[in-house]
Amino acid sequence: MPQRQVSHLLSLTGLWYHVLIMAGKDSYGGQAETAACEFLRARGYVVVERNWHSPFGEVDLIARDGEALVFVEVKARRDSSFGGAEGALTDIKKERIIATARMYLRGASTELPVRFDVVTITAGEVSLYQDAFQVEV
Amino acid sequence: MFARLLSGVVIGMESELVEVQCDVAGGLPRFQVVGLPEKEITESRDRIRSAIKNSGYSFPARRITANLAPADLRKEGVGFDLPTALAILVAAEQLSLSPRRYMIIGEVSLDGEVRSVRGALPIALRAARENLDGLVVPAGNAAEAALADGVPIYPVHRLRDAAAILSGEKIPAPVRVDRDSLLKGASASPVMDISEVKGQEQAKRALEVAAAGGHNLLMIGPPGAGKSMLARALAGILPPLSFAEALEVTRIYSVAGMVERDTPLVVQRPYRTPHHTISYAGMVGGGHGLPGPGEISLAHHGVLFLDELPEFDRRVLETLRQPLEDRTILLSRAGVSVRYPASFMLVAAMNPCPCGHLGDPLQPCTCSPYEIKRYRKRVSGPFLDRVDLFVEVPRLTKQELLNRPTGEGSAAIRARVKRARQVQWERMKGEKGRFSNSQLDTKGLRRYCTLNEAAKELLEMAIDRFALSARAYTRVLKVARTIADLGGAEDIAPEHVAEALQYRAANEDFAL
Repeated sequence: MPQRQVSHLLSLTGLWYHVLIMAGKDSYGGQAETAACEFLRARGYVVVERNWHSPFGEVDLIARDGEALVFVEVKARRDSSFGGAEGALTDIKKERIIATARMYLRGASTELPVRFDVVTITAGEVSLYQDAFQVEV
Repeated sequence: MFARLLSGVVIGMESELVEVQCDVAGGLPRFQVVGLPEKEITESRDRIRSAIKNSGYSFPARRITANLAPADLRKEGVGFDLPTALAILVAAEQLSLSPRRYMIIGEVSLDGEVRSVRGALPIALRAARENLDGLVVPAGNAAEAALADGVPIYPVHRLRDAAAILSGEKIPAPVRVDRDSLLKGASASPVMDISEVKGQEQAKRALEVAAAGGHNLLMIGPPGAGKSMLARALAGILPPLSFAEALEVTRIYSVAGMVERDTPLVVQRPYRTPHHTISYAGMVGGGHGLPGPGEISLAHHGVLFLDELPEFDRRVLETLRQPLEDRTILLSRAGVSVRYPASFMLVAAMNPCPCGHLGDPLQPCTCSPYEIKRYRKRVSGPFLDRVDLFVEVPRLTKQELLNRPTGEGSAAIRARVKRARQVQWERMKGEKGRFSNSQLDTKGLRRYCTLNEAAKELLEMAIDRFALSARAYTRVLKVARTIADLGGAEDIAPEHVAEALQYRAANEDFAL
């Protein structure tokens, strides 16, 4: 009996934390993505997808900028004490975005120009990095 | 969306044309370089990207493919940075080409500055054979490249300068150098005057003969007798380089990236003194990728001085045998083989035994016969067979030590050496790449080394007496020819042969 109680308690706690984390992420990350959308729209981008998923990962925003198709990663930090959002894009993350972009582009014309941009939001300040990274050969 | 520009790659002493092609297309953005590039070329992508951005252009977020054609030729070096960057700009329609045809070389730095590259002279010589409107080179290589006649040389400091030349917007004046004034700048190197060396008159004479004919010399003597000093003084009595020789030497130094910006033409005879710990790749040439020139090629038309000869790795010494005969070295590696000239004068110094005092009248030698034998064995017979002059450099007597140094100065000896070389140049005018008696081949020997009857008889006797090998025989003949040239004699007389033989006798005395 005591044993069941413990496991019951554990699972309850685990679930509680999960809800808490997801709520936090949704509220801050989601807000950031919305802010990024607004920012890009003001600059003439047409956002076509939000949070597009593939088995390899997720792309925050997909937009058209003129004739180019742009995959946008949004990075946000509440403050710059850990190097700000600019430092947060790892190689693994880049690879996931590129792999997801490949999935999205299946069947598309190979002549369609594609770009990877990054929008960073650090302590409320929004910056856009066009052509932030490319496919490594 | 497609562009092609002309560049060049250095392979050994030669240069091949390379077409830098660039295609800019849609799709996932990436930048790749194909066409058998070595590591430093694939790394150039990051330099080129930054250089373009920092020169006020934008690096296209497109699928960029740069190809270095012909694709089966292995390419290394950083000289493709500049043409590749320019080809990208043309393909991305940020730069339009004028109809003029240029060849382009140069490394770019992150801020768009153009940096010097190796091998600008061979590339310029190659460009001169094409019908081009000019060669665009880094400003640091301009004077060196301008030594080649037949193609205008345009120096550039920045990526933007090169772009302006290609578009025809702003073409600078081509760089010119005055060959004669460059050669005149050459004076005897002010290292040390030979008259500062006390005594050793016989060795000084041997140095004079060696310098006059470009012969190989081995000095044997106890420590402190002045072997190294004599070798250093040799630099001061060497004859000046002719323009043809200087251009050849400069070409090697260009490949090695050792040409000075202010003095593009190497006018001083090379004098190389590698330490005895040198590896065989350092001596004959090699290294990863395309083999580069070694000390023997850097000493081309000059002196290679090996102090403490037996201390050198035996394998390294043995590799010298073939270039000492052929005056060139062929370095073959998987997929590539390159040839470098290596017509150098070998000057070596050694002690007679490990303790250094064998044959010394004052200080007894403490070595056992076995030790001496082992010491001598470090230098092989075939190697010694290639030495023309053996000379003893004995301990100085008390008088010589106390007196002020005597004897002729370097200037007087150099004048004689120069005259003797002049005679040799005149004689060998028709023979390409040959400048001194040491370079005579068998045909040249027959033609130019005419002995009179008495001299012939003496030499015949010597063959038996000294058991001269065929090689040693021809070497005696060449030295005799040089001694005759120094004396201003047309034919070789007995005294010339006698002196030449005397320089072999020292070898026998030592029973090496």
